[in-house]
Amino acid sequence: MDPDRRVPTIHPLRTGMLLAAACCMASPWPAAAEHELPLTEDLFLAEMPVVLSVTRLAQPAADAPASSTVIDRAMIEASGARELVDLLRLVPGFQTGRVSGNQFVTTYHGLGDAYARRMQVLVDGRSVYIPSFGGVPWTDLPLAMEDIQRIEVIRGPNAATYGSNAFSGVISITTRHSAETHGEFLQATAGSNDIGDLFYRHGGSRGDLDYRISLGYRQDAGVGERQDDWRTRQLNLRGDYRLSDHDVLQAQFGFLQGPRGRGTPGERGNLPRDAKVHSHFQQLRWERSIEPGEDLSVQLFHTYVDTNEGFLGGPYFGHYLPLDFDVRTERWELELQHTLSPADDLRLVWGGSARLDSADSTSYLGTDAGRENEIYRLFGNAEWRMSEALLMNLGGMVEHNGITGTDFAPRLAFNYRPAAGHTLRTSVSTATRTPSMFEAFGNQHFCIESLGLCEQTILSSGQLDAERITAYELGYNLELADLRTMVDIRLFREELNDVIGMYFAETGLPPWLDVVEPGAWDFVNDDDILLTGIETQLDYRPVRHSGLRLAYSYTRVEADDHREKYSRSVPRHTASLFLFHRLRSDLRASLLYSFTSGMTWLGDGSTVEPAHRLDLRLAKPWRSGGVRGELELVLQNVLGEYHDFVYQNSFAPQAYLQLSLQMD
Amino acid sequence: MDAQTTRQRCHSKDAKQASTHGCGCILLLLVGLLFHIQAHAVDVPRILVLTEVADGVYGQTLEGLEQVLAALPEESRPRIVVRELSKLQALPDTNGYDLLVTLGSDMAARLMISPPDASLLCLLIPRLTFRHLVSQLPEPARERVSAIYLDQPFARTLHLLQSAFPEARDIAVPLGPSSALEKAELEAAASSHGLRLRLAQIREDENPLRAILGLLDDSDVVLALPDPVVYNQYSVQGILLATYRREIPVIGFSRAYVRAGAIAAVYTTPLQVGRQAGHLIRDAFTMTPPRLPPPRPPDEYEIAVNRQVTRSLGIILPDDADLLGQVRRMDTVRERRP
Repeated sequence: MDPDRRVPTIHPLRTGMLLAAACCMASPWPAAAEHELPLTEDLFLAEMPVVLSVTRLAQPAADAPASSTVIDRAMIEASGARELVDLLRLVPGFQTGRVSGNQFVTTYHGLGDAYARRMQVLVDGRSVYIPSFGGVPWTDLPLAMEDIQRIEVIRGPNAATYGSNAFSGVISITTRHSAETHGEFLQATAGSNDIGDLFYRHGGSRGDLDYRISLGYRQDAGVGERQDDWRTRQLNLRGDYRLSDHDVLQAQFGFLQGPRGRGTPGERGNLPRDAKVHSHFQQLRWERSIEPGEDLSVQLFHTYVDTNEGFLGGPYFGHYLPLDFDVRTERWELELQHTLSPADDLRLVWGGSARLDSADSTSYLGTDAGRENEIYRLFGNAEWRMSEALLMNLGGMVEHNGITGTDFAPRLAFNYRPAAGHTLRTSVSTATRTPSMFEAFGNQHFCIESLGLCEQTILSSGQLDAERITAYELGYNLELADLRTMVDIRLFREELNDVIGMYFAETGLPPWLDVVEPGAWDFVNDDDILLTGIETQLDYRPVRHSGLRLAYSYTRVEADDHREKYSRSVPRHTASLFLFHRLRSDLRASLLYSFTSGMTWLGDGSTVEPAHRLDLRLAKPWRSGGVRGELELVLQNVLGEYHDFVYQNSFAPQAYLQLSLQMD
Repeated sequence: MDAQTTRQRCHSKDAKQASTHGCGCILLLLVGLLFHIQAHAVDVPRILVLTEVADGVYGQTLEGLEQVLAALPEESRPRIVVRELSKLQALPDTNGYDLLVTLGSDMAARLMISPPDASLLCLLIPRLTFRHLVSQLPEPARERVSAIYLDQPFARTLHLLQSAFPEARDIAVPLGPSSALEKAELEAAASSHGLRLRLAQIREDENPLRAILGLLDDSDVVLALPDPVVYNQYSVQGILLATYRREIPVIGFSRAYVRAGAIAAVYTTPLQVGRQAGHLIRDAFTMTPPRLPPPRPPDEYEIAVNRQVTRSLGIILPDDADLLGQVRRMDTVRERRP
């Protein structure tokens, strides 16, 4: 800020801004004789650098090659959700299940068991599904709801951009930038079901660095009478550093730890115990903006999830066995991505990644050594504006991994805009799902050492191919400007091939190693499933804090059900209604209703009847001095109990009160 | 170019003085001829336009001015002399001109140090700057000075805000040392439109972003009012990124700001200012002595909308023509009210 910038110049468009010299509060204006006027025509007429360039902006829904659902910060707050998975009820076609009070599962178009694994889930670009079982440990992610900026869900396969696990869809979670969370923030929650949470966040800046630290403690008593109460302590650190005008560096660290109640009294192989979870991640991301329209990013991350659940099981033949379901998983990944615009009507994104997945579980993989998988991926997408009205997206991914070799997944989409506000979208998109470590290397046996007897329960022969999905989609996106409304309709036909399921097979083991029931569960690609249906989403958003979101999905399934009851696991209808409003007095009120048809959860799940759920929230913010506070009351599931995931789980109504204080 | 509208660059002398040169019959003839021309010229208003440069935005203003005046019949068309004046050059002799026009704030400031006898019309100057300069003048001199401001009246900007976001109620307005001077007028305009303002006062050495972030949580829209302490090359990027991440639209004050990432703005081009000045001058010279009307905001304006940002934020706005029409209608209604 050099006050001497005013140099006599003939150049008419002085791009420098004039700054007041020696400006003090008493006389904000310098003497006219100095000719140093703070406010001149320059501010109105000079150019400004483009800040929100095309590459920085999130792609508008109408131009995207797939249907997507966005849940922004205002909606996250208005929902009163305490768990991230509860927000996914807003997405048409999604089902959320509570396997227990501390294990959640979410799946798109059914086909889900306790480890629903056909979704790519990213937090700030970091893939968080665990390599061992392929599912997402929602409760073990070091991620605070208060730190989430936005959730974007892409419905349909999208391997071309997000890799092979982007099979049914992609959930992309973005946390808030450090510059957004300055000051001190404190939040306390108390409620029924032993709900007790405490959250503290501190954010600030030093020169070109913005940082924040978040600390959280959460607990509740779980679902119904199950032994599934849990506690979590977590810590998150984030720093955003501006290396230069063109470079930013983002570093994150997260840590989470706590006991989770598991097991069922009376089940000798699954007796009640406290599973101890340790989970942490580190992430480094460098972004460079080479010029408007050209960006480069390099990301390196490491995630680690370790679950210790040991207990004394039995009695088996009068013996008690030390059993454990310990699993330790790790992932390292390095990814590079380059975005460029070689011509006005062409935008290219391409990149590659190298990943190392490892899982260590004597009880599930049968070996102390652990298992590893190396995955190499190359991807690219070209967005070509063929004409004013027609946009084409052509992309694909090539992946090589140690379990299934090389897989290729292309995608082609056209967006046609015959008139302003109307976009027709048609696409063919494919993806593959690499079998999880458990599916590829599963080896579970229990031995009574003193008797020299073993029972083999799971033995994977390892001859597995990747699952494949091909999705055909016809979509229509309508923008009604005067009504501030957007409607999105999607007709889909999803063909799933080589779906992996379990079957009881001969093991070829000598009888003393397979003593109780000869044979063990093996994995095989043996099912084909066809999903067809129509999904629609309506958004009415006159202002940020008030709006209406309606979502509905109708899905039909055709499957031979060789290995699992796939045809029963897809609910015919899912619907949700979300109404949120900020009243004149600043009071905020919202209502979230969701409905899922009867369905069968696979694996450890069971058939559950149609479920309705209604959540209500009332919040009142206030300001006094430099403090902004908010008191909110949330009532969850007011319509009464419903059975979730398995008939023994009944999710009862609960309520909590939350107080938040923000000091800048 | 029309013979009556002459542009003379820095070094030419005054035509009146030229008439005293020459000798003999030729001189008499010349004198006679020149007196003849002068006799006409005496009836035609003479305008001196002072600007630092005659190119770019200043050139466009001149163009607008000349366009309007060229449409006048020859006999009554004012004669315009344009002088480019760098900071180091002294002011020329302003005697003999009926009207002085300055382009730019600096030029206006220079002239107002020792105000001339002729009337002065300032163009391409912000409202606050002009008012401040005039406040330093002695009373009699103030009546001779007028301007066409570059910035829009608050009501018009609020009309754009309401046309784009009819449900918006809480408006975040970061104020700097300059824009804070008009706080009372802004609050009056906002309350008459049923809007609630959330203000932040930003001091000169403060990082504007911190103060602005504190406003964002409860606001529907950010209204950017021109102030170089708040919006400058160091702060604009941070402000646009922060508001974009919070998904809060920004109403800007210039077309450049919209291109940078603000959602929409009402602005007046230099050409439009020039045209309005032309009409103003034409009307002023229907009276003798020429009377300039009081200083006023621009009449003509345009709207810029950043469609990429609106679509990226999922904000659905009517198209540019509709928005402009709505603002115009609201403006007219406003004017009719007493």
